Amino acid sequence: MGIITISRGSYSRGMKIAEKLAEKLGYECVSREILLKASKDFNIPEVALTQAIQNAPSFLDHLKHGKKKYIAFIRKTFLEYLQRDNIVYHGMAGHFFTTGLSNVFKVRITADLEYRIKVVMKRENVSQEEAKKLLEDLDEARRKWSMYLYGIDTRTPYLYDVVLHVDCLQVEGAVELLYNISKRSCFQTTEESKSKLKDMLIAANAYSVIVNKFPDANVKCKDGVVLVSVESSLSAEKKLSKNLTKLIKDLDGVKEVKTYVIPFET
Amino acid sequence: MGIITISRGSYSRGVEIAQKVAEKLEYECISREILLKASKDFNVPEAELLHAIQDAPSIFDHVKDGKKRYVAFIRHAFLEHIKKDNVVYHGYAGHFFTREIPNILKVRIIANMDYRVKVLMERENISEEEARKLLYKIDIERRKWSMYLYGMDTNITELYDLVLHIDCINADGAVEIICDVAKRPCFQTTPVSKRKLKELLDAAKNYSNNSVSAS
Repeated sequence: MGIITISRGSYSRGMKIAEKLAEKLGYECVSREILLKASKDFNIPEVALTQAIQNAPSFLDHLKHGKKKYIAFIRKTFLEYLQRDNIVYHGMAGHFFTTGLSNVFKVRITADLEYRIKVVMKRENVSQEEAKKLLEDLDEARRKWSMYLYGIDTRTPYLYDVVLHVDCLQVEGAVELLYNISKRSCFQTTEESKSKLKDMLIAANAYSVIVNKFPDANVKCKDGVVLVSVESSLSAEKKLSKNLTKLIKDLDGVKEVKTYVIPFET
Repeated sequence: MGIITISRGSYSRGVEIAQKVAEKLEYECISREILLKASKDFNVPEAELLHAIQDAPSIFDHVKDGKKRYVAFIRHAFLEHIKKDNVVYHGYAGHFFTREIPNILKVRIIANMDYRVKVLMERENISEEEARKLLYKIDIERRKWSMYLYGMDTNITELYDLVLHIDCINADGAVEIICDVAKRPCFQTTPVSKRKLKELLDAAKNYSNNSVSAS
């Protein structure tokens, strides 16, 4: 019983590794399914969600919090999916969404630029120069995206338990190795990790409900008690607290709502 | 038959992991021996070589290339040693020295800052603040060093075949994983990898000899 997230450099064979690993473990393999489900649940076109999780933020994103809103929807759906357990997720942001869940096995797959260029040339039928430019643009967009949302470069090794370079190991070798590591006791789901994941889902759900009005709210949950911190003027505290409680109190799993107003800096 | 280089974040239990891997695989485990050999062969005090491979470059280094010369001596001693095969090297620059040689397993061991702070506090009997400051300084020095000599941050994952974060996996788990990977066919020494190592060693010898006779 376990959960594995695989972050993959584009054109690094990460998808194949994820699929084969899931098959070997008898786990469900998910990626695009998350976006499809979020698109359906929140009534947002899938392409808009894909852009939110894939592209570097625009100037407008900084002003309008559009990307933040869509990411909140995706995160909520992602955490909902993880409750099923026995899952290999590959794709964007899995390692960010599971930060703090130490039992989730977080993997990054990388490959040499030369190898990736070859794959792009073959797959997209482009020249070597075009392929290189495409990969550089993709990598830069990913970097900007994660810096904007999480203040950290997605290539930083500290985000993962294991980083594997596939050039030598190849797909089969990587799958076998990850299979062995995933069997370790530290990556098995426990009652404690289940309840932590449940709390994270409750908080993510609460945030997805208030994100339109309070994009900068900080939402946490412990044993069903939701704590929402928002920045506002102290005079609006009562009204704000009432509003937030009303929006959140009837959501799945919520036992209590606590609000905390951080006064605007004067 | 194989060669493993282990790059370790300071206070991340990398030494212990390297020693246990070597013991389990019955390989030789080396680190400081390289500096001692280079010190003897090129008649440079060990402390100076250690500065060259450990500290960020000074303005003087940028002007006179002194660090580069000493690093070349260390590289020479390193390549000479790993030619023996069945070696685990832990310490500075192993992943840079072996970048062009195939079949060498390049590993990096990392740990969270909080974990490293704890280890440092215990080992050096200092406060949390002092430990954080010291680690911050060490990390900056390492980054500057590798940027100066190789134009690359030593933290870049593309430099390694395997990066292991030991917070969850722990040191014994890391040892098992590294041994598992090291036994795979792609990390066994081959005639091609031997030839490449010999070419690099010959070039390193030439550079060192010219450098010594010029000084």
